[in-house]
Amino acid sequence: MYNILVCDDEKDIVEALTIYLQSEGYNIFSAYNGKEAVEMVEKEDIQLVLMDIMMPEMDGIAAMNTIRKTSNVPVILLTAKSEDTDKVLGLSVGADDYVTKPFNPVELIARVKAQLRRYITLGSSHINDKQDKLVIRGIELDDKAKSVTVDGNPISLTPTEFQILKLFMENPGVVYSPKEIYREVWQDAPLGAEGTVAVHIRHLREKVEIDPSEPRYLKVVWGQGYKLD
Amino acid sequence: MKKLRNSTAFKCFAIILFAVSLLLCAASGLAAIYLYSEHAITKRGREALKQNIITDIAYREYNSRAVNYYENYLYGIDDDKDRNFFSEDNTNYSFRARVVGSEEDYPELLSYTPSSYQYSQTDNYSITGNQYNRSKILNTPKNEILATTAYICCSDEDLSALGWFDSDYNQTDDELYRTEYGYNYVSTDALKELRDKYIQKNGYDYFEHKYYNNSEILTDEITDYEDVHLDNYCEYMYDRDYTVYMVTDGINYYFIDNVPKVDEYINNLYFENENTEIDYDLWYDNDTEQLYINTYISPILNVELDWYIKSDLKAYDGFYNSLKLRYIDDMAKYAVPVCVVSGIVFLICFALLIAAAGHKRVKEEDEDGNVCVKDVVKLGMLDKIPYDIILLLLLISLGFGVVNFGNAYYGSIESVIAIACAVICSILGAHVVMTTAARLKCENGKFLKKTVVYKLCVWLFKKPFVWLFDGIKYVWKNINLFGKYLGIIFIVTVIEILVAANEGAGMTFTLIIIEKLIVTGFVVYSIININKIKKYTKSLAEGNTDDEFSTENMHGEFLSYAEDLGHVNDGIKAAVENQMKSEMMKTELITNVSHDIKTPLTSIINYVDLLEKENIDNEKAQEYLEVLNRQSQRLKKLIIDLIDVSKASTGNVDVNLEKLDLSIILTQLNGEYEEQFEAKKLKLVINNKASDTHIMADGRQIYRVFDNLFVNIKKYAQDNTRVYIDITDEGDKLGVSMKNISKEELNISGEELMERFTRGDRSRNTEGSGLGLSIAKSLIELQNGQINIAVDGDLYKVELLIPKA
Repeated sequence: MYNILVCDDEKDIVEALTIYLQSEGYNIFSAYNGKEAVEMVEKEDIQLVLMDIMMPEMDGIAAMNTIRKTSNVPVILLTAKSEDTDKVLGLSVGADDYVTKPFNPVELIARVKAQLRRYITLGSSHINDKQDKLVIRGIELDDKAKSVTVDGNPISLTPTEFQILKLFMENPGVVYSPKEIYREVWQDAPLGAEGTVAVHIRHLREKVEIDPSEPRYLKVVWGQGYKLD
Repeated sequence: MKKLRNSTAFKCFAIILFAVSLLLCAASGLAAIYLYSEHAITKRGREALKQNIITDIAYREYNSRAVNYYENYLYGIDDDKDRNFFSEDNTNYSFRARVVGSEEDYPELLSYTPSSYQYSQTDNYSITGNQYNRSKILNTPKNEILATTAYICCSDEDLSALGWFDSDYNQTDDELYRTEYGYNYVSTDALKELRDKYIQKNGYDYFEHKYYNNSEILTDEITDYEDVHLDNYCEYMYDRDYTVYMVTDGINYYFIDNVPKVDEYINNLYFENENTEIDYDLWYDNDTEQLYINTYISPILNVELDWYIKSDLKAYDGFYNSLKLRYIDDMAKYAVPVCVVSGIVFLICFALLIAAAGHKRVKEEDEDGNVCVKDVVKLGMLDKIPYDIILLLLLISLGFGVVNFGNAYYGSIESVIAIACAVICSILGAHVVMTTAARLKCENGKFLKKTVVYKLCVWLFKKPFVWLFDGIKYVWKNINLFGKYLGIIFIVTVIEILVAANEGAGMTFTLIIIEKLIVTGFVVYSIININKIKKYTKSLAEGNTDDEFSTENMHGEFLSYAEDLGHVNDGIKAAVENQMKSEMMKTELITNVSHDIKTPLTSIINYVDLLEKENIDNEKAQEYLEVLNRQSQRLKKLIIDLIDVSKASTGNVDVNLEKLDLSIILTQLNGEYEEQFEAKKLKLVINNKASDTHIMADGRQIYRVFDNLFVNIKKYAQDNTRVYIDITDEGDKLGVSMKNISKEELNISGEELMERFTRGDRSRNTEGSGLGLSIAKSLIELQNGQINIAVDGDLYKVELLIPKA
C-alpha cells in the first residue's frame, strides 16, 4: 500500500482527492501548506506527493525544492496556473508531472499510477536488458510477442497501429510526415491516402496516452507530422 | 631688481633715457642716411677734392649758363644758381678761377688758362706766375665760414699795401688753406686807388674785393649795397629764357614770376648798347616791401663780386658743397656709432620699460598691523587715459613734426616745432610702450574695449544694429516658408539685375555660377534632410516608434519639422505604451481572476463527479447532477478560452514562425476530426489549387486557429452537408477558404461574428464560449495572416490568408 501526500490549501480539494485516491486503495496523508508537506515527507514514508503551487506559508515550488534536497519521491504539481511557462518552471525545478486545475479525476489517477509505477516497480535506474523489447519510458513494445504495455498496463493495438508505434519507437524523436508514415507502414505510395494515417495515429494516441489532448509520448508536430519521444 | 623696477624714479629715468636715445637714434639715423646720400651725390666732388685738383674753373664769354653747366659737370651737383661772375671790358676777356688745392697743383691749373688770355704781359706780375698765388681760399673756423675769392691783378706790393696778404697761412697736405684772418677791412678809397692805378696803368680791368662779415657789407662803394642788410639780400635766379625771379629775405624764398617791368628795363638796357653787358641784382627790401634791382653795366663796372658765406647761402653752391663734403665726412664718422649706441640704449630702455610697466610698490597693512611693501601690478593714473587718445596724440605730434621737418631749415620756426614734436613724440612713445605693457598685464587685452573708439562704436552702432537685427529676426520668424523664399528670390534677382546692368557678361556669368553652386548646395542639403525625414516618417508609419532620429546638421524649417515629427513619435509611443500597459493589465486581471475561479471550479467539478458516483436513486437528482456536470465543464472551457483570448488579443503569446506544410496540417486536422464529422455526417472536401502549400507559421498556434474553426464547423454546420476547404495561391500568401452550411439562420454579419463573445444569435446557449473566432483572429494576425468571415444566407465562409514560406 502506497502512501500519497496530498497538499492543497483548499480543504475541499484535498478531501475530494482523498476520496478518489482512497478508492484506488492508496493511503493518504494530507497537508495544507508547503511547510506541512515538507515535515510530512520527512516524518512519514511517502511514495508520491500531489501538491498545489499557490499555498500560504510556503508555496509548492519552494516546498518541492526542500523535498528534493532529501528525497527522490515523485511530485505531481496540481495547480490552477496553466501557462506554459508555469509548467516549464515546475518541471524544471524537480516536478515529475504537472496537472492543471480543474482536473479530470480519472486522468489524475492515471498519472498518479504511472508515476508510482516508474518510482517503485521500474525504478529510475532500471536498465532494459531485454533486447527484443523497444522501451521508451513507460511504453514497452515486444516485437516478437506483438504486445505493448504502457506503464505496465497491456494495451491492444491493431496491426497497423502496432506498425506505426514500432516505427516511432525505433526512431524516437524523428518527425514523420503522414506520407512517410504511409510509405513505411503500408509499404506503398501514399497517393492521397495519407489522410488515413492521421486517423490511425489519433486512435493510437488515445490508446497510449493518458490525456490524448496533451500527449506525453506521441506528439503532433503541426504542419510537419508526428513524433514519439 | 624688484625695488628698482618698482621705483618711480627709475621709471622716470628710463623714460627720459628712452626719449633721448630715441631722439638721438632717430636724428643720427636720419643724419647718417642723409649724409650718405649726400655723400653719394657729391662723390665726384669728393674725388676731385681728394686729388687736390681744380674744383672750379669758370670760363666765360657772356654766357653764364655755359659756366654753370661746366660747374655742374664738375661737381655733379644740380646747380643753376647764378654766380657773380666777373664781367669784361669792351675788348678783353677776363676770367676767374677758384682754386681749392695745394700750390703744387697750380701748374695744372695754369694749363686751363685760356689761350685768349691777353693780359699776360703785365709789368708787375706775370699772370702765369704770381696771379694765382694771390688767389686764396680764406677759411675761417667752421662756424663762421667766410670764404672769399679774390682776384686782384696787381702787384704784391700793392696787395701788401692793402694789408691783404700779410697774413700767414697754414698749409697742410689735405686741408684747405687757412688764414687766421680773412677780413681786412679794405677801404673803398684804397680800392679805388688801386683800381685807378691799374686802369690807368694797364688799361685793364681791376678787380675788386668785397668782404662780408657775417651780415654786413663792409665795403663796396660802387654797388648800392651799403644799406642792404644781408638778411634782406636777394638772391635771384636769373635766366634769360625764363623770367622767374626768386627773392629771399633770408628765410623764405619768394618767387616773382611776373615782373615785366624788370624784364623790359633790362632788355631796354641791353639793346641800347650791344657791347655792354648788363648784370643786375634783385633784392627785396623788407622795410619798404619793394623789389630792388641793381644793374651793372660792364664798361663802367668791371667788378667781380664773389663771396660765399655759408650760413646764409643755400646748399647749392658748388664750392660750398665741396666744403660741405668735409663736414659730411666728419659727421658721418659720428652719426653711425651714435645711431648704433643710442639704438642699443633705446632697446634696453624699451625692454626695461616693458618689464617695469604697471609694477608698483604698495604699502599694506597685514593682519598683524605690520606695514609691508608689496609689489603689485596695477594701472596708474596715466594708464587710465583711453588708449586710442594716447595713440591719437602720438600720431598728431608725429604727423605735425614730420610736416614741419619737411619745411624746416636751420633756425626756422618749423625746425623748432619739429624738434618740439620729436621730443613730445619720444616721451609719448615711452608712455605708449609702458601703458601698452601695463594694460596688457592688467587687462589682458580688454583695454581695447575701454578705448573711446570702441565705446563710440558700441554706442553708435549697438542700438540701431540691435533694432535692425531684431527686426529682421522678427520678420523672418513670422513669415512662412513661401514668404522667405519670395524674399530671397527677390533680393537675389535685384542683385543679379543690378550686376547684369552694371558689370557686363563676365561678372554676371560668374555670379550665375556662384548662385548655382549655392542653390545646388541648398538643394542637396534639402534633399538629404527630406530623405532623412522621409525615411523616418516611413519607419514611423511602419510602427517603429523606437527609432532614434538624429536632427544633427538640420536647421530651420527642417529642424522644426523633424522635431515636430519626433514629438508625434513621442506621442504615439506614449499612447501605444499606455495602450499596451492597459491591455497587459487587463490580461493579467483576466488571468488572475481565472486562476481564482479555477480553484472553486475544481471542487465543484470534483464533487459533482463524486456525487454522480454515489448511488442516488432519485432520477431527478441524477438529471440535475447531469446539468451541474455539463455546466461546470462549460465554465471550465469558458475560463480557458477567456485566458486564451485575452492573451492572443494582446499578442502575449510566443510565436515562432517556421516552415510548415499546410496540406499536412489539414491532413492532421482531418485525422483529428474525422470521427466527429462523421458523427454529424459532415463530409470534408479539400481542394488544393496551390502548387506549393508551404507556409510560415507557428505550428501550435496555427493548429489552434484551425482547431477553433473546425470546432465551429462541427458545432454549427448543418448535418449531412459538405464542408469545402479550398487552398489557393494569393501572391505571397496562401488562401484557405472553409465553407459550410449553417444549421441556424445567420442573422449577423461576419465582423460581428468575430467579436468576442458573439455567436449566432440563437445558438447562444449551446456549448462553447463564443470566443473561438476571436482567438483565431488574434492568433492568425500574430502570424501575419488575415481572417475574414463572410455570411451569405446560410453559407458560412471563413477565408484565411497565411504567409507563404
